Order: sequence, then structure tokens, then C-alpha cells
Amino acid sequence: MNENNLYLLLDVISRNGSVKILTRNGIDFNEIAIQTNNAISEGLVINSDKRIVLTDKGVEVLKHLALKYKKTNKDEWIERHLKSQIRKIDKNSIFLPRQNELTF
Amino acid sequence: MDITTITKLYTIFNDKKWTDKDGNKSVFTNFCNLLSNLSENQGQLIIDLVERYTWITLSEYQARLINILDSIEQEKLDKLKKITLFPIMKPEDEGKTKSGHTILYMLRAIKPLLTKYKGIEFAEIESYEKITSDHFKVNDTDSIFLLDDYLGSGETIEATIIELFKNRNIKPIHLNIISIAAQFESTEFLNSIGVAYYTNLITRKGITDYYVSPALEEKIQIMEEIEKLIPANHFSFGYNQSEALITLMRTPDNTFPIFWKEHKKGNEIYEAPFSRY
Repeated sequence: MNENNLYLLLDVISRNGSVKILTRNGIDFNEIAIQTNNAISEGLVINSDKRIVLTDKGVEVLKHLALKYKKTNKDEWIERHLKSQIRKIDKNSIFLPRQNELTF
Repeated sequence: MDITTITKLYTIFNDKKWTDKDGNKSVFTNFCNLLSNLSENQGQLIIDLVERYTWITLSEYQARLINILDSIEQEKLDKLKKITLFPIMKPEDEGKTKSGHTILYMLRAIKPLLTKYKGIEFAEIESYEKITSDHFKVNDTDSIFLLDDYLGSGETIEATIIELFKNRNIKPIHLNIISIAAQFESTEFLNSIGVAYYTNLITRKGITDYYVSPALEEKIQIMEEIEKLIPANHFSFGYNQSEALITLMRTPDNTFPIFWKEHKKGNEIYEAPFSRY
């Protein structure tokens, strides 16, 4: 696993976040599981009280990787939800989305 | 879905040695997609059920069949001169290729490996017309082995035996049921009519036979919620509400449908972990 992906993995674990950010970066579920197991073997992560958390060593590695890989530019870490974007409409138009096209 | 859930699932795959099976990666991915679409308590139920789930691939059939056939009592085999093999199937399914036929053909290949069966002639019949005909006689040195890879609710084996008994020569003592796995309800039926069965695995209902009240009602309700994701679900809790947790060469429809039927979330359709195709 490259350093950037390891950073993303440790960051998700530290925040107890969703794995979506990993899959969006092309890391499939099998790879996430394998790399988490590797991180456990390397002492970066432990299965504590039925939850995966960072060890002190994992926290240190995350801090170190964050210097290089943390995205501070909001255009990079907040992704545009392009599939929800519609073409520009006139300010006096009323837009009613189709119910079956709503994904939230 | 979080990393803890993925790790739990992966640990189960590892412990069950599913990671050694062909196709395990797509099964794992489809399980992860399913878990991503469930709430926390729904996901926890699926994880609990996966822990008790059995996955037997075709490549494991031969060793399991040899094991089952070797488990038949020596004194029973000593009396036999001829064994007739017959696939378990409902009379209306005659003509279709059923899993029982696969077992029948596999037995042809396995026969030379069965040291306990030296000197016993094997015959094969695949039609009800032949086996129920007056020309088909059975005596004390004959046995009929009824074959399948899985006995579910008991409906198919019951229909098979009822049809066979149209031949008045055939008595329960002549029958031996050979199946890689069997749901408990099937074995209860066979016990009730005094027919011997030999199997590698007897399975119980995944929710009803495992939880007690009030957890039972809670888990049933959670599964009902999960099943709402399945479009056109005609197999709620599995065929005949069998609540099975098993995949063999093919997943029987007795298994909870969430494991073998695609589900829908939003506008997207997701493949099942063990699709039946």
C-alpha cells in the first residue's frame, strides 16, 4: 500500500469514518481488509473492545503522513457532487426534481 | 460502513478459510456492498448469520461424499449385492437436471475409491417410470441410495419417497438417503418414517432455532426490514421459511434470500453475495 493510501486508511480509522473515501480512491473492500490486517500486524492498529483503533505508534505514523498528504485546500477535500449538478436555470423557473431520481 | 465491520467480516472469511475458495473476492465485495446499505443493527445481524453460514464448493463434494459413504455401517454393506442410485427430485421435475443428478455422476467417479463397497454392483436409474415399474424388484441384498447435495424443508425428499412407494416392492428398509447437508426438518421426516440417512452436516433454522425471546422477535423484525430491500421477494426467510444458511454448488432457495437475491438501494441494484443466476 502506498503512503497516501496508508494515510487515508489510518485517517479513516482515527475518525471512525466511512470507508467511502477509500473506495473512491480506488482501494477495493478486499484491499481495505488486507491492509487493515497488515496495519494490525505492524502494530499501527489494534482491535480494542470490538472496535478497530489506532495504537500510539499508529497515531505517530498518521501525524507524520499528514504533514505530506493531508489536503488543506477545501476544493480537494470536499469533492464536488457532480452527478447532482443540473444545468443553469432561469431565476424565475420552478425546478421540481423527479422523486425517483433523488438519492438522499 | 466502517473499518471495524470490514475487519469483522474478513476475520470470519479467514477463520472459515473462505479466502481459499474460488470466487471469494467477489463474494466478499458483494457482502461489503450489502453491509454498506444496511443500518448498524441490520449489519450486525448479517455478520452474526455469516458466522454460522456454511459454504461448500463443488471441489469439496468428492471428499465429503467419500466420507459420507464410508460412514455407512459395515454390517449393512456386508449384506448388499446391489445398490441402485437414484437422484432425489420431485416427480414434476423429472427430465430437468437437478443437483441429485450431479451427485449420481460423481458417484461413478468415486466408486473405485470406495474400499468398503468392493463386490457390490452399482446400478443407476433416473426415471420414475423404471423404478416404480413391476419389473424393478428389490430383495434383502438390494438397496436404493437416494442422492442429493442438500435436503431442505423435506418437501422434495417426501415427494420422492411417496412416488417410490408406488412400487410395492420398495420398503423403507431398502432406502438410504445420501446428502452432503440436510436441514433438521428433513431428518425429522426421515426419522418419522424409519428411513436411514447419511449426511455430513445437519443445519438448523438461522434465526428461529438460534435466538430466544425477546431477541428472537427483534431479529425476525430486523430481517423483515432487510428483506424490504429485495425487489419482488417471493422467498421471505427462504423457501418454506426454511431460514437456511448454506451455499453449496448452488445456493438453495431455502437460504435467506438476502444472501442470494439482488437488493436495491436508491436507484441502484446490488448483486447478492451468493447469486443463484
